[in-house]
Amino acid sequence: MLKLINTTKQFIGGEIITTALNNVSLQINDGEYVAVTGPSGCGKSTLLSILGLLDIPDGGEYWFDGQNVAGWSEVKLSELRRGRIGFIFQSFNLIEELAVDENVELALEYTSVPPKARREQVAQMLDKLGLAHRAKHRPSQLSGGQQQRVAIARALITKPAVLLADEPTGNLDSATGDEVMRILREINDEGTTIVMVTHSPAHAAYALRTVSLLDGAIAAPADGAAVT
Amino acid sequence: MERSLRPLMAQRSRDKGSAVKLQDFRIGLRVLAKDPVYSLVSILGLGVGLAVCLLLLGYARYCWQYNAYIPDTDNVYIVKHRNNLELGAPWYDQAPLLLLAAARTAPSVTNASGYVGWFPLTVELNGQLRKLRSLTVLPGFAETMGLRVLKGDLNEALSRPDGIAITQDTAIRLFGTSDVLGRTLQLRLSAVDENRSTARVAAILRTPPPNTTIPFETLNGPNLSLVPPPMRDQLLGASDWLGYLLVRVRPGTSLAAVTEVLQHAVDEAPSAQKIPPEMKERLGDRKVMDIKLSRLRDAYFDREVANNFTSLTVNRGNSTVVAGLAALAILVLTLAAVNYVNLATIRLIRRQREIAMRKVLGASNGRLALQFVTESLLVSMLATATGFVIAGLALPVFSQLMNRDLGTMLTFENVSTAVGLGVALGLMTAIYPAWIALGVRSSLMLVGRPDAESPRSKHLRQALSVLQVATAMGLAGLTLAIFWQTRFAIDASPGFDPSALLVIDLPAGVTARNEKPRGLLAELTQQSGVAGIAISGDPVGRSKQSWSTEIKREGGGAVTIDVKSVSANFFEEYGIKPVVGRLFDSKIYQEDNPLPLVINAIAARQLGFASSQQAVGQSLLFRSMANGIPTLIVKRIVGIAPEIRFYSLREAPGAVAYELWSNSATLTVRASGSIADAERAVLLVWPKYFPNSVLEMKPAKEIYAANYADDARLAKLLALSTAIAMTIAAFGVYVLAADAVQRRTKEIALRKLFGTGRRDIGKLVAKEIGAVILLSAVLALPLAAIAIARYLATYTERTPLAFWALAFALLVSLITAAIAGARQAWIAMTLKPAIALRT
Repeated sequence: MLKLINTTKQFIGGEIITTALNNVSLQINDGEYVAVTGPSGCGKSTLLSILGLLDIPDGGEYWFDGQNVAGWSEVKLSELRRGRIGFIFQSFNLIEELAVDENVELALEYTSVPPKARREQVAQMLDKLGLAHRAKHRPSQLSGGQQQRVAIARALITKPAVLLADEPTGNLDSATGDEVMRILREINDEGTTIVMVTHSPAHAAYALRTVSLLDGAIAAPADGAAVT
Repeated sequence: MERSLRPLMAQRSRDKGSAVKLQDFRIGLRVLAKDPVYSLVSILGLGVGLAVCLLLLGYARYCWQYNAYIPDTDNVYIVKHRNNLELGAPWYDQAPLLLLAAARTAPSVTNASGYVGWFPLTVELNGQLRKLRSLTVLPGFAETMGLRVLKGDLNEALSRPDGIAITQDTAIRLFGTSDVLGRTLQLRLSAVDENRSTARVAAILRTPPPNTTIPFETLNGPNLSLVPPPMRDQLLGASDWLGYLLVRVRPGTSLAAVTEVLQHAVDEAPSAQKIPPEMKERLGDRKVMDIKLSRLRDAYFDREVANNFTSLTVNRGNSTVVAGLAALAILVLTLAAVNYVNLATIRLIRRQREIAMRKVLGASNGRLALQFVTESLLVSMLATATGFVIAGLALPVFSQLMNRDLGTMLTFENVSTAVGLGVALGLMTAIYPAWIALGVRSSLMLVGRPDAESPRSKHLRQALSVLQVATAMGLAGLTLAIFWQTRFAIDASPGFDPSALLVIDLPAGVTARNEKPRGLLAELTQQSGVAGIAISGDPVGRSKQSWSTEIKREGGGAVTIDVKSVSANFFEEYGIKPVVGRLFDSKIYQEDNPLPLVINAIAARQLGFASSQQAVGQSLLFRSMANGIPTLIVKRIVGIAPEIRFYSLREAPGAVAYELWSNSATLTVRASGSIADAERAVLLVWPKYFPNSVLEMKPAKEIYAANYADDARLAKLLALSTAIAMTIAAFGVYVLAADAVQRRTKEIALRKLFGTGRRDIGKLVAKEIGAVILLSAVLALPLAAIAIARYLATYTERTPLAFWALAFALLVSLITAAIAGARQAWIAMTLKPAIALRT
C-alpha cells in the first residue's frame, strides 16, 4: 500500500518558490490501477516521482511498504526502490548504446540475479511482449510502439509490485497507444499496482480509479480512497 | 494474486555491482564508436600527451641514472683538482696520479684506482682501421668500478703486455660474435702511427650502458706493449701527470678526512715545491692546487667541469634543463588530461538522461561511479597503447634531437611505469565526470526537466580551457625567445668573417710540424680552391687546447692570461686587422719566433697600460716551461688585436695573448672561391697523406654554432611541445565555442528575430573565446617573461627581440583560437531562428 498524508513538495529556483504539491493525501491499495489527471503544471509528475521514491516530500508523510520514507536519503530510497518499482516514461528513455535485450537486462544488472538467469528472464519477457525478433536491434531501429514495449519489458523484468507510468502513450499514435493500454491492463490483471499519469480521458478510463490534480492539490475526491 | 510490496527474496534488492563488469567496457566501446571523430580526438589527444610524457620522462630518467649501473655508485667518488695558478682556476675532474697511493691509505677507502685516455687505440681488421674508445686503466679499476666479467680473466687482460679486455657489443661489432676469447687484434696507437702490436682478447665485459661518463669499448693495462715505457712509468709511479682518479669508500665515510689526506699529498708533492716565490706570494693563502671529491653519480650534471676541454669527450647535462623537461612532460600530460576531461564532461552531460535512468533502475552511486571509471580506464588504456606506438616511432628522431643514445629507454621498468601512469590517468580523469554523474537528479528526468550543467561545472571547464591556452601561450613565448637568442648568438660576429673558412683537425697524435702534415699543407696550398692555411691550437669558437700563463711587465704584477698559439699567417687568413700596431705577418715574422706577442685591449688594461697605444713596443715577461722547469722569457708586444669571440656569448671576453707557435693540430683553410671548392680540394689531397684517418672537416661557422647546439636542441624540443600544446588548446577552444553556441542557441535565435545581424552574432562567440584568451594572457605572459629573463641571464649579450616573443605568442594564440572557433561562429551566424526555436 502507498499512502501519502498531507504531503507537500516545493521547488526553489532563486527567489521563486513553486509549490508543486500542497497537502496531498492519497492512498493506493495493492493491486489498484489509478490514473492521475490534470492540466500541465498541476503536479502530476511530482506526485509520481514521490510515489516512485525518486524524490522526497518537503512536508507530510509518505508510507511505502509500511515505512515512512519522508526524510530518507537518496541512497536509502534507491535501495528501497530497487526491484520493487517499475517505471515507464513518455519518451521511453531507452539507452541507445545498448541493444533491446541489453536494455531490458539493465534492470536486472543492479540485482543479484546471475547472468545466465538474467538472460533467460529477458528472453521470456521479450517473447511475451512480441519483441524476441528485435532482441539485437538498437532502440533507434524500432518504432515508437516497439520502443515503449521494450520500456515496459524493462519495467516488468524485476517483477515489481508497483508500476509507475508517466504519459506512456504521449508519444504514440492512437492505435499504438491503445495497444500499450491493453498491455497495462493485462499487467494489472496479474496483480501489479499501476499508477498512471495521463492527459487522455480515454486512457484514464482504463484505470479503476481516477485522481485529478489541480494546482498541486487533489481537485476532486478520489472514489472512496481519500484518506481522512 | 495479492502482490506484497515486500521483496520476494531479500537479495534482490542488493546491488551486486561492486565489481567491474564486462558490460561497462562494452558500453564504453559503443560510446566511443558512436561518435568516432570525438573519440579519436579524445584518445589521440591523450595518446600524444602520454607519448610526449613517456619520451621526456624517459629521457630525464636516463639522465638521472647516469653511472647508476656501477654497483653502490653512491660511494664512488671522483678526485677533482683546481690549479690556482691557472686563469680562472677552473675545476677539472682529473687529479695528479701521485694521489692514488695516498688515496689507498686514506681512512675508509676500500678501493682507489684510475684511468687515462691517452692511448686511443685503433684496431686494424680486414684491412680497415677502426677507432676504439679505449681506456688504459690502473690496478684496482675493476674492483672500484664493480665491472662484470662475462668471460675470461680480467686480471690477465689488464696485466699482460699482449692482453686486452673488450665489451660484448664491441666484440660483436668487430667479429660478429661475442665468443671471441683468445682472438687477436692488430692494434695501433693511432691511425697514423706505424707502430703495431698484437693483443689477445683475454676478457669479455658487460657493455656499459650509454648513460655513463666513463664509456669504453676496450680496457688495457699500463703494461700493454703499445704504451711507451716513459708513459708507463708515469702511470705507475708517483707522477704529477693528470689522470681520472676514482675512490670507493665505505658508506658513512667522512669525506673531509679522505680529502685531507689527498690535499696533504698534493701539498707535499715535489712540483708544488718548485713554484717560484713570486707566484707563491700571489697565491697568498690559497694553495697551489685544491683537491676535492665529487660523487660519480653526479658527474653527468657537474657544471664545474662541463666546459673544460678534458670533459668534451663525454656527454654532460644540465640538471635544471632536465628537471625543466620533466616538468614539461607533466605539463603536456596535464594539458592532454584536461582536454580529455573537458571532452568527457561534455559527452557525459549529453548522457544525463541515461544516468538518470540507471539511477531510477536502482544503480547505486558506487556502481555508477565504477561504470564511468571503467569507461575512462578504457580510453586511457587505448591512449596508452597509442602513446607507446607514437613514442616508439618517434624515439629514433627524439634520440637524434637530444644527441643521446636512448635506444635502451624502453626497458621493462619504464614500460611498466608507463602502463601504471596510464591507469592513474584513467582514474584521475574519471573523478570529475563521475562526480557530475553522481549529481544527476533522476527526479528531474521524470518531470521532463533534464539537468543542465551547473554554473560551477561550466566555470570549472572554462578555467580548464584558460589553463590550456595559457600553457600553450607561455610555451610559445619561451620557445620563440630561446630560438631568437640562439640565432642571435650563432649569427653574432666573432670578430671576423667565418664564411670562407674551413676547419680541419689533424689525426690524434699528429701536429703540423710532422712530415705528413707538412706535405699536406704544401700540396693543399697549391690547390685552386685554397687561398691559404693557418695553424692554431684551436679554431676560434672551440677551446680544446686552451692554456694560460702568467705574464707581467718588468717590475709589475703578474696577470694570468689566456694564450693562443698560432702560425704567422693566422691573422691574415682569418682576415683580422690590428687595432693598434701590427699583427703577426708571415712576410715579417718567421714561424715560431719566440719574441713577438700580440695582445688584446683587455690584456693591455690588465697589465697596467694606460692605453693600447702605450702597450705597443713594450716588453713583457712570459712564464713558460723549459724541461719541466718554469722560466721567464721576454716577449715584445707588436700590436693589439681586436676582440675575437673565442668562446660563446655566455662568457664575457677576457684577456688574450697570441704567440707564434705552429706545432699545433688545427688547420684553418681559407677558400679562394666557394667553400665547396675548398672542401673538394681537401677531400682530394687528404687521402694521400692520411689514407686511414677519417677527415674531420667543418665550416668555421659550424664550429661556432656548436657552442649553442644544446640551445638549438632545446628550442626544437620546446617548439614541438608548443605545437602539441597549441593543438590541444585549439581543441579546448573548439569545444568551448561549440558549448557556448549550443547553450545560447535560443538566445541567438531570439536576437536574430529582433534583427541582430551576422556580424554581431559572430562578435558574441568571439567575446566568449576572447575572454579565455585574455585571461590566459594575464596568467601566462608574466610567467613566460620570468622564464625568458632567467634564460637570458646566462648570456652576456642578448637579442633585443627576446621579449617581443611574448607579443608574438599572444598573436599566435589569438590566430589559433580564431581558427578553432571559426566553425562554431559560422554555425551561430547562419543559425535559422525558426528551427532553433522550434526544437
